[in-house]
Amino acid sequence: MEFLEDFTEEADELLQNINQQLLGLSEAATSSARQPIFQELLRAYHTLKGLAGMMAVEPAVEICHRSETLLNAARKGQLESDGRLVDLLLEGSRLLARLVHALPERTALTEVSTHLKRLQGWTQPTPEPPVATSGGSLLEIPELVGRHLQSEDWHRLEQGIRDGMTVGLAYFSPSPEQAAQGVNVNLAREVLLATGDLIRAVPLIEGSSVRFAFVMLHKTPDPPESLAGLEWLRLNEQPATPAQDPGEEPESWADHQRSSPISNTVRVEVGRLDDIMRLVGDLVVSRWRLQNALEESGVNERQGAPIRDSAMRIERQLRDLRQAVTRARMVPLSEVFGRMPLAVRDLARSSNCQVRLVMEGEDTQVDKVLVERLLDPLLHLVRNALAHGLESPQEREQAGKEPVGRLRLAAVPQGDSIRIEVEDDGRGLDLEAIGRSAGGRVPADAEQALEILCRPGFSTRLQAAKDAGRGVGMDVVRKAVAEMGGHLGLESHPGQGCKFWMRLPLTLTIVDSFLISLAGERYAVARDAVTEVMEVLADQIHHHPGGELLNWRGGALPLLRLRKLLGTSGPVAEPASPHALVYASGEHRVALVVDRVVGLREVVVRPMADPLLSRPWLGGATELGDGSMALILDLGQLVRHGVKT
Amino acid sequence: MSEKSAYVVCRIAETSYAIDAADVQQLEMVDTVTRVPGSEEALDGVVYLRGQVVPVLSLRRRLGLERIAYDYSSRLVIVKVEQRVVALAVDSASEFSLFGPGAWQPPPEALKGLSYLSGVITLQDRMILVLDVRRLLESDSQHRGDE
Repeated sequence: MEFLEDFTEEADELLQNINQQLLGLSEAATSSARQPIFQELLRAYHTLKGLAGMMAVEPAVEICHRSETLLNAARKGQLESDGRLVDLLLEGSRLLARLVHALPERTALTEVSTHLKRLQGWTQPTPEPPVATSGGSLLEIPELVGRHLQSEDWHRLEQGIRDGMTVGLAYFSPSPEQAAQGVNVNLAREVLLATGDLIRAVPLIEGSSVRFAFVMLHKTPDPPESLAGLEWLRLNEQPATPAQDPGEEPESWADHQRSSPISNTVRVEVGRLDDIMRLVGDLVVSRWRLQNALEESGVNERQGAPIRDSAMRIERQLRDLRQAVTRARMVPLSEVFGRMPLAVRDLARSSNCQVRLVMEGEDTQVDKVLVERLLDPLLHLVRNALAHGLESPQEREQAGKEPVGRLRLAAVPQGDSIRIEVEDDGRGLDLEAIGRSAGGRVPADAEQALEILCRPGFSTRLQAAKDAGRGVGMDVVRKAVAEMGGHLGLESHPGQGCKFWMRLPLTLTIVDSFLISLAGERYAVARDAVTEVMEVLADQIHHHPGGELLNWRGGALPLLRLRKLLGTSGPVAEPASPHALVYASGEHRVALVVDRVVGLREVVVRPMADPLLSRPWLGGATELGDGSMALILDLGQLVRHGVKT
Repeated sequence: MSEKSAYVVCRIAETSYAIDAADVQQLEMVDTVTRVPGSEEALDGVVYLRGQVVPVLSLRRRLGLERIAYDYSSRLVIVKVEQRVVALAVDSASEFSLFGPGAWQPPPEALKGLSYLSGVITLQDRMILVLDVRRLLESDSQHRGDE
């Protein structure tokens, strides 16, 4: 079944590319701008067709094939490549996606035949273009095989086509039963050689079995003698006519090959990378254990030096190893941003607004798992922006704005974390309406408004909430962001727009953290959440009825005591001048008093999944190398809600 | 005679309890239990076992008894039920015991209210209460939800 997963994944990537190219096509103004897009589209459809063929998804093969035919005609100017064509093909792409995902059940889709008829009907005004041009027939060679062909192979094939020969592709699947009867790959080769020239034989490894592909040039289009396990395909039926005007069709397959470089990548399941990361995590802990043992062993300075050096070197190497594994898990954000143009296009249509999508920073690399989990909350925010944030063109003109709204998606790297912003230039939040619909006071600022928006079921209860500008299912968004170890924030300017942002860690498994001690226990806090560490002197603290304030840089900072928040009172008394961590969320700053900040180190986050342990302020736990554990605190949750759930 | 069933027998406050051996992964000495602040009464904390953070549930508290400090005879009975791994802290625990089907009886009328009791094993000289681990953990999470 692993093969099936690979297929789905690869098909998804191709479809995403197809969608992007189609959108690009609808925007390309000139014929020359469209040419490279056509080429990319043809290749993508073709590869997808090959894949679908391998998985025997006939309807998908058919859709791809007819889409290719249409695109070929459009490329040659025999067909108008207008928005209608793009819409038709996008519809096909959606069908293809459904077919791909329905593969395990092989669900029959009734829409397919309607769609195929539409594709077919589209071509009728202009005659079907001849498929067997030189470019066309060589495109028939599946990518899987084509990538093994050398440039001289392509030249021989091209020459052969010019000389009126037939390009053939044969597959031979060896099996033990056939081998027992003397039917093996050598025999297949002989049979094929009797009918033409063998350009190249390519072994294809598919799961645990192997299949051979033979690329042939035949003098006659007759099939070779049949042989068990041998499957023969003719790629160009009619003798090809040499290209009329070499200038007109510059994209011979030599170009074609240049634009699809031989892939150097290996597909690895994320789970395997997780395994490696776990091992690296174990190593980090083992090294700490070694360090502890060394310190307790009483070895003197001189004797211990070489051991200490080695321990240091291991630490550095571990850091490098961890970074290498982290890098291997990284994918560009465009994997998720790339899906947005299509969503925006659909949503804009249904919500009666016009929108221009601007994306920034989609090349930023983030953890694969993060990218997957990011999709839903991002879609949610985009949907809200279009449905509730942006006004209709008429409304915008009345407000003196451009009729076309602007939606900006941006990824801004910030050290160990990344900030994803979804910003619109719509009407902004109506704080009064939000307050009213929640049946309470008008929120003082965007942060308070966000609190209300994120209450479970807030928006579904009252229509007013929807009119308030935002807030469908924001609780879900915030939960998803919190599960990724991130924070959700909001800025709003009435009449000018609204910006939601998510701050997310770049990786999820190992986090640089402050280790703190509190009443004899140790806890970890992500370094990222802390802007400053300081020592608190008694005379810096001012008591007042609402709580305590800390004199800080000429201003006052609310002071919270972690001992009190957590309700811990161990045998260890709080030191006279304890340490404090400054936690900042937006404009909001708090000083959190702990006993001591013990150190800064990488901790391996172990999830705490059991229902007995599910608390929003607990980000997991980590072992410290001496057998004990430290709980990882989510300061944001603690500051906002305390420990009570 | 039909087959005997295997149980892990543990003791809490002079009473013997039996847990179906099929639910038990292993027995552990109590090492370092890390306290989790703000948790409900019956949770002692967490332990780190073979790459996993496991909650420690005090069986004493769960059964409505006073908590006592761990000592050399304290044990953690590590149970695995429906993907959950939980450590049950008990005063002491012996290895597996086998009981024939004849020894088992449904819980007596007086104990019917205790949903986590699935039966009673009577031997000549003593009585062992059979715990239903699923109910034990289930009602605990329900209890949390009620808060």
